[in-house]
Amino acid sequence: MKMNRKSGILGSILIALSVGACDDILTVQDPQAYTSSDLDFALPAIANGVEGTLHEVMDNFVVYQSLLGDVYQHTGTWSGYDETDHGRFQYGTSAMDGTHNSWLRGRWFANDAADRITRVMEGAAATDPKMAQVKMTEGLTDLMIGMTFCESPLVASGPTATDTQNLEQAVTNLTEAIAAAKAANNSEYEYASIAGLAEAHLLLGNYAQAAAEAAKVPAGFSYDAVFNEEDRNWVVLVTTKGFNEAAGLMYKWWPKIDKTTTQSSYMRDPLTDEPDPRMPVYFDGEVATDNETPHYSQYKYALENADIPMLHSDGMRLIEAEAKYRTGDYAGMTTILNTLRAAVGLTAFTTPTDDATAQEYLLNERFAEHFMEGRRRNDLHRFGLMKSVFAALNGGAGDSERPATGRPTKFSMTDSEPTYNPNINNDLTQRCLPKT
Amino acid sequence: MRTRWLNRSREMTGAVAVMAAFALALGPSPLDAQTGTLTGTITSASTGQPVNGVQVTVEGTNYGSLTNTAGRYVVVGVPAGTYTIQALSVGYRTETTETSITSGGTATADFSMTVAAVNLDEIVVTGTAGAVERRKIGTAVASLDVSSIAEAVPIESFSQILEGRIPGVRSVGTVGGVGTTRVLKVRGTDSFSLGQRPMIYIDGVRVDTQGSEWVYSAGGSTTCCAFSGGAGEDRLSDLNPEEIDRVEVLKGPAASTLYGSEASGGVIQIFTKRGRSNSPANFTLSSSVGYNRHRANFPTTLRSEFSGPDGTVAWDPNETLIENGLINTYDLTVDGGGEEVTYFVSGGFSYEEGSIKPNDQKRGNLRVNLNWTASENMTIGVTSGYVRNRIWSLQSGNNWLGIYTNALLTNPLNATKDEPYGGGLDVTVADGQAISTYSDTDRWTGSVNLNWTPLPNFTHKATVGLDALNDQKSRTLPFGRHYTYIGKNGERNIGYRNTRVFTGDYLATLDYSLGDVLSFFGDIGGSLAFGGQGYWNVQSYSMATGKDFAGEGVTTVGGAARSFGGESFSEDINLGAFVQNRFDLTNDLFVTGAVRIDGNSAFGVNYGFQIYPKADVAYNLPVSSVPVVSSAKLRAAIGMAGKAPGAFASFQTYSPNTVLEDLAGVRPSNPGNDMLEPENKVEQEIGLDLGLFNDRVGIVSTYYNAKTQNALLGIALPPSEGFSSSQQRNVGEIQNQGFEFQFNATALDVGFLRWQTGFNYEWNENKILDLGETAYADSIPVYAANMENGACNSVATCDVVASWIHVNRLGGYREGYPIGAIFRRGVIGWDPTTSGHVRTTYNPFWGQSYPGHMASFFNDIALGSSLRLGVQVRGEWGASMVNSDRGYGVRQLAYDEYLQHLAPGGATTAQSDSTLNYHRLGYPVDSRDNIRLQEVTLTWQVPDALMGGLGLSRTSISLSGYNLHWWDDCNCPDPNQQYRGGHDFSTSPFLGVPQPRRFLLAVRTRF
Repeated sequence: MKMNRKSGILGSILIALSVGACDDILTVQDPQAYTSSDLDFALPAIANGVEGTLHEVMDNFVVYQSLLGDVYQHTGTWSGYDETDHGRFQYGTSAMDGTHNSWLRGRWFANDAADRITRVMEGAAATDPKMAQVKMTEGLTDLMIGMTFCESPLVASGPTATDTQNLEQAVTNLTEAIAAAKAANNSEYEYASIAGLAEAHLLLGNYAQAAAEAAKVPAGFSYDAVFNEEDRNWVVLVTTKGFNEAAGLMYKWWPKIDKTTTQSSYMRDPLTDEPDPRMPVYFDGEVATDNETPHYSQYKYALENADIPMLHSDGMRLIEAEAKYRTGDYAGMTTILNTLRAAVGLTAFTTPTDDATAQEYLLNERFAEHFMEGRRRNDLHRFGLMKSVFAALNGGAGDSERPATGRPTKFSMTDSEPTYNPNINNDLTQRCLPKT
Repeated sequence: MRTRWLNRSREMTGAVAVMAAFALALGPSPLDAQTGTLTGTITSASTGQPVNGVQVTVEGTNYGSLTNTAGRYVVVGVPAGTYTIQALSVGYRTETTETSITSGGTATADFSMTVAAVNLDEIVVTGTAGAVERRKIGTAVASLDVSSIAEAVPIESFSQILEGRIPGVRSVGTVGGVGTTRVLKVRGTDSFSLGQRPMIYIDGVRVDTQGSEWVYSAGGSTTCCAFSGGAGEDRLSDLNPEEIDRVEVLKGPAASTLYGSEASGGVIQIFTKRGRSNSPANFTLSSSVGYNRHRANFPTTLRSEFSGPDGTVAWDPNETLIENGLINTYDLTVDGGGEEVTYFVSGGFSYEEGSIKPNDQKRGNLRVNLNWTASENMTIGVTSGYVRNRIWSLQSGNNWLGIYTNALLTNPLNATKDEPYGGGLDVTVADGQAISTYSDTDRWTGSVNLNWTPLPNFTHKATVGLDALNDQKSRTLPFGRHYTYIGKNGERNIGYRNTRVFTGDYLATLDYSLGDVLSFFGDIGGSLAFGGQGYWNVQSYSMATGKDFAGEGVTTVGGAARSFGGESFSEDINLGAFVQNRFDLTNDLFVTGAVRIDGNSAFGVNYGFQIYPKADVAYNLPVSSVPVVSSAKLRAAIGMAGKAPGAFASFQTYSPNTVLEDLAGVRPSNPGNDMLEPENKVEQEIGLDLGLFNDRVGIVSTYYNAKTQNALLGIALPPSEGFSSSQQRNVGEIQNQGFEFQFNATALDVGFLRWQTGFNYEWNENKILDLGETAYADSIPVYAANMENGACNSVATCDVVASWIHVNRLGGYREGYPIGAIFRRGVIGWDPTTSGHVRTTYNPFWGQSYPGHMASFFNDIALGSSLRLGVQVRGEWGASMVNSDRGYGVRQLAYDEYLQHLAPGGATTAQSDSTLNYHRLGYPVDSRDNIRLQEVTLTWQVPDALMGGLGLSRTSISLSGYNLHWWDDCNCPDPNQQYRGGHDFSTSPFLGVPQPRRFLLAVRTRF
């Protein structure tokens, strides 16, 4: 009996331990994600993923740029929009962090993808469109980061660099992208890179170079942020009639928008009072989701998978026009603007004789041509108008909810990067958050 | 003997007959001719009522039985002789008597059981590596006799059983829709990121405890608002309380070490009912009818004072949204058995409507439990439970489609004939009510368990089981109605969640005696136990969405113009082996040591196995010479248990996504960690269990100090490093310490009047001790001004930081503060120069989200043998919430707090503007402190003389109220409101529908 008892004990222990020690039993597979080695056989998906990462936040960029500037006002229930509209946001509470995070992640992924394509394709990589695709994306991401006009690292976990340095990196990377696109014989990536290069030069103040590059972009070209069923356009989802109405066109534009029962009206040109087909809007008299504010909706993007133009030939013409304006060639500027206006049936401007009027014409056209494309806040900043525009609200009486003084004017760097990047001093006092 | 057994079998169900035939085919009866029968009736000394479920054992043998609902027991085949007969039951003193059993004769041993507030002879089996008397274990194992509770209180859900009855266990209703999730947590928050619910076993089988919305995991999103706003259905609502006999609860690693890598949050073992040997069929029929109804305290009572542009007087949801929600339940159970086979069979159906409609739950449960004494030393048990649970989920919570949401967040000045509430968040209440949202679940949980006792001191127990669950969700937003994000063309969502949890468990126990090897202790006995345990948990999810119907009439995904879907999968495997030894030193001192080793598929590939040790000591003090004290046990324990990481958290992954023109893309997702470990929680526990006044007063007190080591923290990488998910690393340390006090007493027992009372109290302190090396310095401001609105008069005196507290921070966590601590900017004053409120520049500390103090107070008063009144009052203190509902409601110009300041007709005033300004600057932080009248039940035990003519016995009629009233200072309808509550208790209620009151009339009878 003693032997039996011992045998039972030992046998049971051995069974339990042998089962527990069998390592293979504990191996499971995740069928819903790729490992790094899987990706060597999925290069097209990598290149598309890189480009998609840039596209997917363009909608948020547009919304926040519009709230920061004078295009949108908060009309819903989200405090993040409320804070941004009223200029109350600060580091750590900025709702814009996600956009900047995506740019930084996308740039790392573009770099990583370029290395992988080179490793896997070896010599063939240099002439492959996928290489041009990721290089273009990397450069355009630099451009978007530069558009914040605030600091951001240039490389993974690098120290912060100024917006100028980021724009200069955009110039370098887009120049390489143009070469890669030419080598791959891909005109879409080539023109998009050229258009990006033109915009980078514009923001750097290199107007002649900007105009020269812009001139290379043919009429009708447009490089759009593409949305789809899964990655939907949040300009539509959160600011448009029929969807959430968390933001709407700012009250300063309301006098130029007629109440209508159809969804095919246009905002009237602020200077000529003509309906401008470049600015589809809609107002049916109903209040927004805040239960209080009449909701004036953009309608440029009506469907939730509507694409957002990032760079296009008409924008290039405006860069050429601005280059002329910067040199005092108002006539040359007006000629370009009138060409654009004629294309949509608007009355031509007469050539201005003073800088203020010329600037007004230029910015008016940029507002219309880039309507809901996220450029307005940049323009107010570049031309130093942020303070005066907000002071002029309410017919010049100002707006106590949106004071002209103390309002953040730039798209601040994400709080996540300095928090987790050991090479950035996480000192709020050193961070870029200029205010009017 | 066999003939008699066959005669009894006519009383059994068909299933039992099959089992019996199987039993007969296997061999002869273990019983021989030199035996007799022991029988008797067991009643309560105070009430005279039969006591069900009393364990009667013939000491020194393996013979025994349980009493049936009539208090009867029969033990057959007992070898002739004189024995000590023991009667043991939760809540009663253990009784013994001497009885002689003659060959072929029938001996009778009746017992009159005295209520005891503490019973150290009670047997527990969970976490102890075999059945053992409570006096021998050094940990606090709580047990609830659910059968007895159900005699006094109509129980509608498993979660209700746990409410306030066990200190350290927090079971709170947080979302008011029928079938929706509840908080269930033991001894505080012990993890940053892993689930907080304890492991739950049913008859030894680990079961799925999903209590949160799973559609987020399915990979294919809906267009809006998950399915029903984020709360999700609670799989604990699948359980039928009528099937449950008792529950044992292990509150932490000191007691749950033997459950290994998932047990650090505690273990709850549910034991379903069993048949009684040699008992005729006992039928119990119970039924209840009643209703749910919200308390009319929604903050919209002033609505009817305002009207909209067409003169429509605005509707107040208190008057128009709240309805009576019908409750109707039926349960029929039968239990009994012969000498070798016992059975318990039950069927139940319940229908329950929410107070805000549409929302209901239809649940049908079936259970068959069979036990077969295959031989003198072997029993085989089979359990099988099936449930069909169909929930029409309430659209609620953080949800544009929410009915409660869109009724409350409306401006009464916008009320029109078509939208009498005033518009809402772009979705009318009527359109919200037109959405049909279902969770339709089929679930089977079953087990086979084998008990083999080859020697009287050597037992083997093996259990294999499966919990299989299919949850099918569907949501239809009909064509022609307007929904935010969706438009007017309608949408259909369907989702499937398929879960399989396989459990295998083996345990061997060897009782031994070492003799007088250490003279100091006298004879040393002990028990050696060893075994293994494993589970395999597989979950697969899929979802499909169809958008844009051509018109009315078609409501399938395939019938929509556009459709898309998603699929996801999760799998985790755990295998463990353990050995435990308990020394019985004298008859009063017991020392136990154990160790478990675990391997888990979620551990990093380079990590290996995890070892969990434990030790405990129990010392039963000699109290015979101490006045008043009838029993006393000092206990101390230390143990470790774990919590495994997410199934695939250790893998570095790139996730697929759809980009550009619907092209395949990938992006960096999880950076992975091949050294990922389980979270290990080490708990120290000391306690004193006291019985006073002949055990009429019982006190159980426990202090615990638990530290979660290697707590998993999501360490975010700099965005410039590419990966979007945080990297899971075992770097954190969390402390939970607390004190639990349980007092039970028979305060009065004077014949016609018996008053039992009880008081539970728990203190829990949660603190983050360490956030690892990647934590960074943070400064927490302490403001000079009072945090209350209006406490200062100008910016100069308000927004002033008096001092700074410097701590380490990682994300939302800060060392030295609890998990769920609230840090945010808040309003601290009024600046008359700008006619605006002043908000803090920085984020001060406002409070914590989990209550630090919880208490409950019970009273059970019996008048004679017929009337019984039960009252439970609960309270919680120390928790705060970011009162987003309050701020939201004011900002939407909807709540009384704003409306009360409007001039007649609705014109704004300085006060209304000030109120609006206050809430536009941030959500206020309010207290969750509350005292709640939880349950009141009046039960009338109908005299058998009245019902006997109908063949009925022990008939009772109960009238009960649940969640009747609460007192709070939360500026909200219910301080327990929480829109997503199953696995966490976060800082914001966010339009979670409060819990309704419930009123029930219940009848229970036997025949």
